[in-house]
Amino acid sequence: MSIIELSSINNKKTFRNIFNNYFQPLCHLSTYYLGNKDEAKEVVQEAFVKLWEIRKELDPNSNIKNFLFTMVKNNCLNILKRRQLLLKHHNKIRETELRYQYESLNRITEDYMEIKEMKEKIEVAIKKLPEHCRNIFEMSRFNDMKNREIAEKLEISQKAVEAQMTKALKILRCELKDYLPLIMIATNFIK
Amino acid sequence: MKEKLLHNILTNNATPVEKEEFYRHLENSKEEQELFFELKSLWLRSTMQHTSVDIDSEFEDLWKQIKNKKKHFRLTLEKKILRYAAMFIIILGIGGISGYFISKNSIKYSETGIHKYTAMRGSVSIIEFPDGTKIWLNSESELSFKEDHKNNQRIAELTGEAYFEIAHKEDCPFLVKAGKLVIRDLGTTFNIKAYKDDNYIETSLVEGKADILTQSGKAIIALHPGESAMYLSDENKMKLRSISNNVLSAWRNGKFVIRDQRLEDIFKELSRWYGFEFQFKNNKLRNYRFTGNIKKTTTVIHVLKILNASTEFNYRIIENADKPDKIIVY
Repeated sequence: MSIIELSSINNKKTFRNIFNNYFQPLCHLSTYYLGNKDEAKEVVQEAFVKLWEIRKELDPNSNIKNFLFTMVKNNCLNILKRRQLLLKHHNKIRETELRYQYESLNRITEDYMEIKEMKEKIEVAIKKLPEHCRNIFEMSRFNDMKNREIAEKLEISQKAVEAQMTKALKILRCELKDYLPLIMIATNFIK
Repeated sequence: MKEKLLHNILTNNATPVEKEEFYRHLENSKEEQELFFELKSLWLRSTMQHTSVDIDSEFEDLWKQIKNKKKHFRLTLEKKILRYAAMFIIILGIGGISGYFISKNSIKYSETGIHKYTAMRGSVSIIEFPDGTKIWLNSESELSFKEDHKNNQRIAELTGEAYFEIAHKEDCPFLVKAGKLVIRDLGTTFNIKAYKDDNYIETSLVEGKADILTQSGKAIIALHPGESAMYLSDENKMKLRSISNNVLSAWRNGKFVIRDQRLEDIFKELSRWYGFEFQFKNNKLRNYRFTGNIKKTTTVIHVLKILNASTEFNYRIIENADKPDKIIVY
């Protein structure tokens, strides 16, 4: 999608297309890191509002995808940093948790926005999971079910569910290692 | 990396105790940390949903925001002040498991003129008004506030505990509805404790003058500085006694200040702050008394150790992955 179209046409329709493509993945990212759906949505909305406001000033070669991503990522990082400052010295666990949350988000790069590609690769990798394992993984992932709920539904032990989830992550990690820009670790997955 | 914990950590369903264990383990190994980041990134990408959201209404929402922003720029300076100067709010968090943050949401100007403030469990919130009134909200408390211009009064409704420093306004008294009682004052400093699951409402006056009335406006008692009125809802009785100031303000300073309190009541207070359930298997223990100061940032385990050192009881902690932990005292 060329920015020249957007700015020269001043087009709500083009803007809407961009929104349709990127709103949800960006909300997913911000919700994952902020933990609060409303705040997360606000951050993403702000980014789109900003995009609309400066549409005429954007460099014709600029990458809208990356622009939105960077805005959302940075705002989330700022919020996390603010939370850290407020908590300083007050709660060790929360402080540590926030620290890891911040660092984790920091490492997320723009290729997160290669959404179609990523979705396809993930779906292919999930299909490679053994059926029982895949079933459990999808319950957790899509239906947001907790391990206990999955165990109840399938009438198996919670430990069995945990084992399958671990297996799923192990397989996916292996399948996607060339795709995900991550540091490879040669240790055992589970100690 | 612990299998059992990992999923709970990734989905943020871990209990504070679990989290403590998990992160402590991580801190010891750079490799484990890297692995954790990798898995977090993996989980992020693999849990992205297909379209489950009404994207059209989301866009309508957004477009409204864009249109409104344009409108606002056209407002004159005067109108802007009128619209947004009703209340200036600072909400700060002090300690606690869940932590807190400055939220922009609270500055929305509601149609009805009623503003609501909440302090989450393990947090203390401070609300400052432009007239100088300051209110501290304790863990798990909620306050709603309204300026009643027609009747020239300021009305608040409280569940939980709050400490009030009310700015003096000769012709505009401040009323607080707490349970069955209404506390009225002109400009004073007082503390009200009215948690829903307690069977009492405690009003303590630090400075100034305050009246306690029934909901219908009948006067029950007038408080003097240094007095505390305890209303027992089961017996429909009011008891008066004197207070010591530093006990009152302790909760605002992030401490549990315990003065000859029953162990059961102490546990009730702790369970509110830390978010666990408890059960006394030995009834005698309920009445054991304890005196001491404990910082609210102390972990539950340490608090139990501190109490245990002087009051000799046994306890067992049952950790639950998906509901509050339970502490059994025997």
